[in-house]
Amino acid sequence: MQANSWRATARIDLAAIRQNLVVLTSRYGTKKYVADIAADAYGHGTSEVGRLARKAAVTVSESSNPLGGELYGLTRDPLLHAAMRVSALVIATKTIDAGEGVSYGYTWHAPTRTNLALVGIGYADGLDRSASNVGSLLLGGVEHRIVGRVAMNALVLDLGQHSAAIGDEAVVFGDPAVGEPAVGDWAGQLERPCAEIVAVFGSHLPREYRW
Amino acid sequence: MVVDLPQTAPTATIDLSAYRRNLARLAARVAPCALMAVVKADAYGHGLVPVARAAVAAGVEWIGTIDVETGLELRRNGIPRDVAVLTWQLAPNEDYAAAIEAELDFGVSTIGQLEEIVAVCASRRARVHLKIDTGLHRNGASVEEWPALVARALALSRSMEIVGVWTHIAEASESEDSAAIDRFSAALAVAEELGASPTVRHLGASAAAFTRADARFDLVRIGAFSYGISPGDGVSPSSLGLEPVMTLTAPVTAVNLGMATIAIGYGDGIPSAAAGRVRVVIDGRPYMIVSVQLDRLTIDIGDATVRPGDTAALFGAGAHGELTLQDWADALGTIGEEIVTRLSPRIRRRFFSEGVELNR
Repeated sequence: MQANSWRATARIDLAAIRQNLVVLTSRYGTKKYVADIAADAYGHGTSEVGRLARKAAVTVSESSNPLGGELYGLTRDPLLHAAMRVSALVIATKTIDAGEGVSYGYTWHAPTRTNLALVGIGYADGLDRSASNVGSLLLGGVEHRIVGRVAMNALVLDLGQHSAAIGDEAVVFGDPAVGEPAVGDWAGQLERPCAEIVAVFGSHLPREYRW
Repeated sequence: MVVDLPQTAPTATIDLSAYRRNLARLAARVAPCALMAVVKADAYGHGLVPVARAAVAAGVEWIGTIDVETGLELRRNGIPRDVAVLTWQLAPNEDYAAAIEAELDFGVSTIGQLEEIVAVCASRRARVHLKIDTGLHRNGASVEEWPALVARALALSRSMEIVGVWTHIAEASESEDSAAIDRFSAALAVAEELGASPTVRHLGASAAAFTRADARFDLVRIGAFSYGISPGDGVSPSSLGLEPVMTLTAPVTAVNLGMATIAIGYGDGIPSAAAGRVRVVIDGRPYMIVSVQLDRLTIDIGDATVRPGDTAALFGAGAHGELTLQDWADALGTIGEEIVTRLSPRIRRRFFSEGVELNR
């Protein structure tokens, strides 16, 4: 689904998957290792990941196996790197007074006058509604909490005294090496498997590939 | 509707007749107010183009998509120009020229967006709906910004027409919604005083439009209820006179030691949290989901006879004993919208109208 390609993206780092393949084939043996590309390669793209595997002379399987997530860096193994980064753009900003409510049901009220950013990603993109008032996104180098209910296509961040501009990028998870939250942090907070998080985002968001 | 054909992959069956009946009931309920069929998020996972076409066939003259790209896709797929298509999540560098030529309507919150719209060369006036923030605090102009937004749109009337004035409300409580309606009425008065005369004033979505006459104004935006998705908290679709539109099924692929494997998993959008909380139904009998994996789930069948090739119903209208979307939402502590919109686009959608399958 390519709708809304400007506002939220799953960026796939194929170099990370290629490097993970090197680690895994040397660990298990090129002949024994089977690349698990079930569920559209865990949301990373069957054709792109399949091509990498074939180039490395690795067998692929469209039926999942319990260790399949290793290829996508979804385990705690420090030698394997996560390949998906999910981010979305700020689409509106505003400042509200203390006591004012935010989003459906007003499940959050501003304790003090504060700045808000509306970010173009929601539960229809794979950002769990259970992250409402719980999860955080990284924006301008600072983690800001989601306030109020996550809606179908948007959520609100409480920026406090920080500010943001329309078009700024907010990161759900990405590369911990550059200070971004890890997919495991996001998954852990929501008590969901990492594989579920990436498979769902990857099936709904437009994917952008880095080679 | 349950499909009896053998299947090898998960399938979402969309009953467009039920969808049209829901629209007809909702239209009658809100009349003389007009109804906008909201088809954002791939028509809540039901399939954008067939659903939008069914809405038009049912006589709907307003369609809501969230973004311009989806609006353009509808025009490319034959949604006629006399059906207005409202888009409101506008990109920082939106391609307004194509959108104006396609006669899409824009929900506008800022003067900056008005300036971007008039900056493009277009052969026709842009159709805008000015948005006021009445308390939801997502987009929409603040009360302070509102007069300037209206005045600027009026000053640009050679390039644009103020088709609508609108807002979203929080549905937090009766009294808070009443306060939002009052703020909306005040904003309308300001706009009219400045000289605006919008064709449509719109505020209410499914629940408020259904229950409150004072939330309807000229047009209501209906998404969830048109798909037979109710708000929960004990309110079922049938209590509203609505029918679920989607039935989700998947085949049994293996049976072993009192467990059966069903070919649908969290990679298809089934929440992993369904394990231990939700049952699937095969031949009218319910079986608890014991685990959800990437591309399959496992159910406990005990000593029952279940065979590979059998069809498991995950949710549907409930007519064959299957659970409903509302049962899933309640068991998982969420709303039906989240469950249907997170289903993977890779799940095959089959569309039926009057019992006949449509070719896509």
